Amino acid sequence: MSKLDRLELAETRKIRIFITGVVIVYMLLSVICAAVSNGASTDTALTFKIILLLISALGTVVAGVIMIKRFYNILFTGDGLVKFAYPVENNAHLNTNLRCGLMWIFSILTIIIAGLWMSDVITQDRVEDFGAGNLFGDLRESFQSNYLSNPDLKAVIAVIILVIALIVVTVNFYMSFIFTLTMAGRICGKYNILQKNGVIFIAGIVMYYIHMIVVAAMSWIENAYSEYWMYQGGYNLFERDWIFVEEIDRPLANILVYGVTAFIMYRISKTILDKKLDI
Amino acid sequence: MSTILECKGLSHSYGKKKALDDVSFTIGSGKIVGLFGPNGSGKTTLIKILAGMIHDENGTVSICGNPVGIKSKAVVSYSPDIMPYRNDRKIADILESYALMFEDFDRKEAEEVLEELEIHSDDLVGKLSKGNSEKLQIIIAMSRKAKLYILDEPFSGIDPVARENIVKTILRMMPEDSSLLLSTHLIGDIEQILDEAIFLKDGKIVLHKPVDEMRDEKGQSLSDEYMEEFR
Amino acid sequence: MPWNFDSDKPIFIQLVERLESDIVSGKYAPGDKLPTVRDLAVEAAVNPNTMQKAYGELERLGLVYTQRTNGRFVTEDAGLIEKTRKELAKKTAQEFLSRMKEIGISREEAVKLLGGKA
Repeated sequence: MSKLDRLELAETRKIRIFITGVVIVYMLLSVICAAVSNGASTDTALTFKIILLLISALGTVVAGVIMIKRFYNILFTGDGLVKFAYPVENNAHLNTNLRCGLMWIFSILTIIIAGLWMSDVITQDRVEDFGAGNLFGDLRESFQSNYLSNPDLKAVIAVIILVIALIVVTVNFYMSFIFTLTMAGRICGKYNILQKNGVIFIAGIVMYYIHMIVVAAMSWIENAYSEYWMYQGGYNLFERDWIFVEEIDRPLANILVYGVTAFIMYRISKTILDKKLDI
Repeated sequence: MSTILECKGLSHSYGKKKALDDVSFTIGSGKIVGLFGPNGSGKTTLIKILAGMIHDENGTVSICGNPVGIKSKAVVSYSPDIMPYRNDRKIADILESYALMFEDFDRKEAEEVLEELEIHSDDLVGKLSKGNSEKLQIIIAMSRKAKLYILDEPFSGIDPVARENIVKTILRMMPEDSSLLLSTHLIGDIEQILDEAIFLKDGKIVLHKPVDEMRDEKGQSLSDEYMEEFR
Repeated sequence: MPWNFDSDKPIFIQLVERLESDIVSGKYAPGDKLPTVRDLAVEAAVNPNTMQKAYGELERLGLVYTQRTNGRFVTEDAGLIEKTRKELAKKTAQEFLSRMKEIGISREEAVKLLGGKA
């Protein structure tokens, strides 16, 4: 961990307080859930779970906003005049923000999943609708009932791919915000535009539409692809394993598209910071 | 005498507008140099290029033999023309981050000098008066034992009496072989600490010479010379 | 006494004059150690290089001498100090007279103003 990372984590320690708070709430509510569901009142337990889910979702958004705001501060406020004077490469600020931002977001996501899994265990699977922990079990059951070979291994692989897809999509979304800010900063610097927030707003809208187009294109390609395989030979080729392939093909496509675009956005942002900085 | 800073052919444009046009100069070690010019003459752009805030490959900069980058930033102490610290930051936290990031930062000295001016470590930046926040900025910059200090408009919010004290503080805190480049429109107050003056006009250097030479040749002060050049 | 500078004369010359008068007036007595360049530059809020130059000039005039490790000292040559005092007095008197001349007062009148006999 670099000095800059340590500094960033120290300056965002408030997020840690939030996470600790969420964990404590989780533990308390899980105990309450367990107590309540012993009386077979699953509705109450379900309500608690939904509340938990909302709090946690809010937590990721809050952490994300705080960290993106910090990157905004570097590019558009006096913060940058201090930080770009540090004897480190300019791109170190990008890397640090990505590392710390993603670390906070994934810590909270991990807590959500761990919490849901924990309450699943405590309530002994009586609440099935929100059971993240059930994913593996569901897949295995489906593979088993369709007589696939090695259902355990395939379920594990499918879960891992789904988790990676979730991570890659989250990283892509975070990177999109950072990229939008970097591009807006570059435009403002190049033409000495003082209405910086206006430029960011427009860049944000453009970025939003690009995302929408990507999503639309993805689903179109996915549909075309699955139709092609379904009728042209996917089922013939993979036989019963087709069910497994169908489970992992979309996540794999997401990993590819979102992964590659996130990497491209990262490279462009890095080049702008290193070679075209103007704050 | 060794050279601390050497610029050759620096140019920078915003869109089609030229902010700096072929600027070249050198600053020797131990020199205090004033950078003067009306608003929009390119002072801040020049300073930002030297401090690494603006990256421009038109022209070369050499600071103690290194181009602008990690090595130059380790020996350049830069204080921008605006208050860069957020209002919700505690002074102690700022000092902490400087101590972590800069090996040449003398935290003890910073605390002592700030205490002399009754600026306390547990104050929030937002609670300081305009004068005190500028003093904070200058003292933080001078608490690094750097080779080149670059101060952009350091005293605009400081009253004349305090200004003399802060000038003395700068002289006291600066290591002997280091150089100082400062831009200000308050010429009269700092004239006597300058070795050299640089006048910028429309992104070009129109004058660069030792201050004593001006007095010897024309018997006029820097302020007179400035008025003559930019009237 | 605060340090004030005229805008039309090089600072270094003004520093030399100021230090000369400090020495002849006895503020720095013969044999006294002088402040370091840096301390005095800070006190006067002038560039240390300029102060260095002024000390150099005083050394050249013989009013100040350097002991390699201990610093700078005022000369103990009372004759030289006396001579400098007279020179300074003469210079000041000349400045006074030329100013009087500028405002149209003759040498005799000026002397009379001072209470002396023309």
